[in-house]
Amino acid sequence: MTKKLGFDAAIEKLTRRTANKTGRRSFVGKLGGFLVGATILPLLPVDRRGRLSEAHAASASGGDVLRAGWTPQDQDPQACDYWRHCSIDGNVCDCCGGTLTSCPPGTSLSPSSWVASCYNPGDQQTYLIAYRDCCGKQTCGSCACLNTEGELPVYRPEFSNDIVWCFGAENDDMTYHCTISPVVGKAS
Amino acid sequence: MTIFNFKSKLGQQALAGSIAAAALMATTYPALADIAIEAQTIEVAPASDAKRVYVTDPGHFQMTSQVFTIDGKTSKMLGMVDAGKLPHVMVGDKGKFLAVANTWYDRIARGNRDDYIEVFDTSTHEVTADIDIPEGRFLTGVFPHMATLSTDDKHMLFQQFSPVPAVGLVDLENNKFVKMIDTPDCYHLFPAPEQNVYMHCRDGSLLQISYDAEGNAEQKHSKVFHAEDEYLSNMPYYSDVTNHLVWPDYEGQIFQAELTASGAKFKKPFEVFTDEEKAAKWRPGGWQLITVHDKTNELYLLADQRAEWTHKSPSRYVFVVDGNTGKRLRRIELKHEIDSIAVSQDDQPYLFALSAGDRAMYTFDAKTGKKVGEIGSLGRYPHILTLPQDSE
Repeated sequence: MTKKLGFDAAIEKLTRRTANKTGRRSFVGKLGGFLVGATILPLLPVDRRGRLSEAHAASASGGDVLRAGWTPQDQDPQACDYWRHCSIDGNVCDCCGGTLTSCPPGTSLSPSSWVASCYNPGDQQTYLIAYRDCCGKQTCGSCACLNTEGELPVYRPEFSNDIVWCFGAENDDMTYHCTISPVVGKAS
Repeated sequence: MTIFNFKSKLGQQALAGSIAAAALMATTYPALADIAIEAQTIEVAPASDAKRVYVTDPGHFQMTSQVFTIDGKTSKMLGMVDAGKLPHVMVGDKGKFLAVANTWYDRIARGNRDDYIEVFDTSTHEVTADIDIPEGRFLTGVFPHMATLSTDDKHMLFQQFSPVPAVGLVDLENNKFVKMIDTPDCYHLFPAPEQNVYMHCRDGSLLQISYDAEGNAEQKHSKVFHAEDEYLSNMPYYSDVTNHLVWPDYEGQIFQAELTASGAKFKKPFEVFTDEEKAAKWRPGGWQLITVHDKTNELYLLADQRAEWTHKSPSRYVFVVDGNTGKRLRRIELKHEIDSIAVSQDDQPYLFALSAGDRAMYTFDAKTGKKVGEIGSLGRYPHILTLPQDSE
């Protein structure tokens, strides 16, 4: 498995070090701050070229498309292989009454997020995506996608897409509707 | 809807009266029809055995879930229980009861949240206990080990992630919530004897929590047993009977530990795939991707040829290896896209293979690999298997 590099590794080391060296509540506060403050991450002076470029270089193994690996396109944002959706798990909000950066009417936008580095074949650049869940309604159901490019196990939650990322949503509604895929930084 | 006029209401009442009278006549005068009236009853499922299977369908993070009860010997549906959002299903007392951890909202997907534990009799499927807990269950795609029964079935524990990491302790003997136990940044719950439970922590160690009946706890970390870039899957196998933890990483390396009251004892990791197979891109993949037949210590790993970072996509093969030596024993071709597997713990084990896409469970003889059963129409997106780890 390709080792984590750059931005992701830096975040990982920061959170590991914090978890081991600080008190529990202090750690949670910092982790929560990190998650909620995902939009400030592009300001961090780190290398974000990361896993995706290397993972993307792996060729498809043949067989079913689900196992063939990630080959992004930049034309159809409602398709699961749209480049921004490289680590999305859920429904694309653009198919649910929202857009790539806005939630559908009547939902609430969670301030927390998980992150991934996604390669855009259109400009051949890699961008940092902070996936955010729209909450407070039943699962949308349209454009359901499960992409796991660079996705890590739940014990590294900031890179895990299995979590209902509705922490901090209005009324504390921990109910998942769909996901937006905003760019929050350029990685290369 | 409650809008109607008086006239139509009268009409409805008259119609209902006629139907009731007809129904009464049918039961009072069977001779008129000249046939015996068939008995009308409610079934009771047979006693649970080693091949009792529960299939959980949480849909795609939907608000309601279904837990199907299946006789694995015959692939026959025996019943169902309802569950809320992203439930955890636990089997206790040698299969006699089922505990389901639920989350529910009073306005469907918004409003007041209510978390609770329901306990079911696995024959009648009736609720035998309903226990309120704090609204803190960690809601993720369902990872079965984020809630657990204690090894003696006297307690149930569940994980909280927000607002602070903690473990909730529930007293199943007295049907009451006890306490939230503060924890560091650790995940999953693996029960060990004498009121111990282990968690896996971000730094690669295990956290041992020793608790008493009031929820007072002592905690200590094991050594770090895997490297930072050895990504352990979200779905280890753990038996609360043998206390054997078996955990594959994304590449097919197997980590094992025995979890006891006196600490964790780690075994030397081994690789399932040869160098040639790795070159041919054989990797584990799926949701519940590993299961173990405890008595023989045979490990069953769901795998396929796949690209990197496709670790949750379904697989078509199972590799069976000796858990003591790592030696390859056999390979089973499932011939379906399978997300989750589980093996029964009896002496003639069956391998159950669940396909979320097919909404079906396929059953194989675990020794020969021969397909012996199939059941379909299992909800919307079923992908969690729960079997008793011991039985009478």
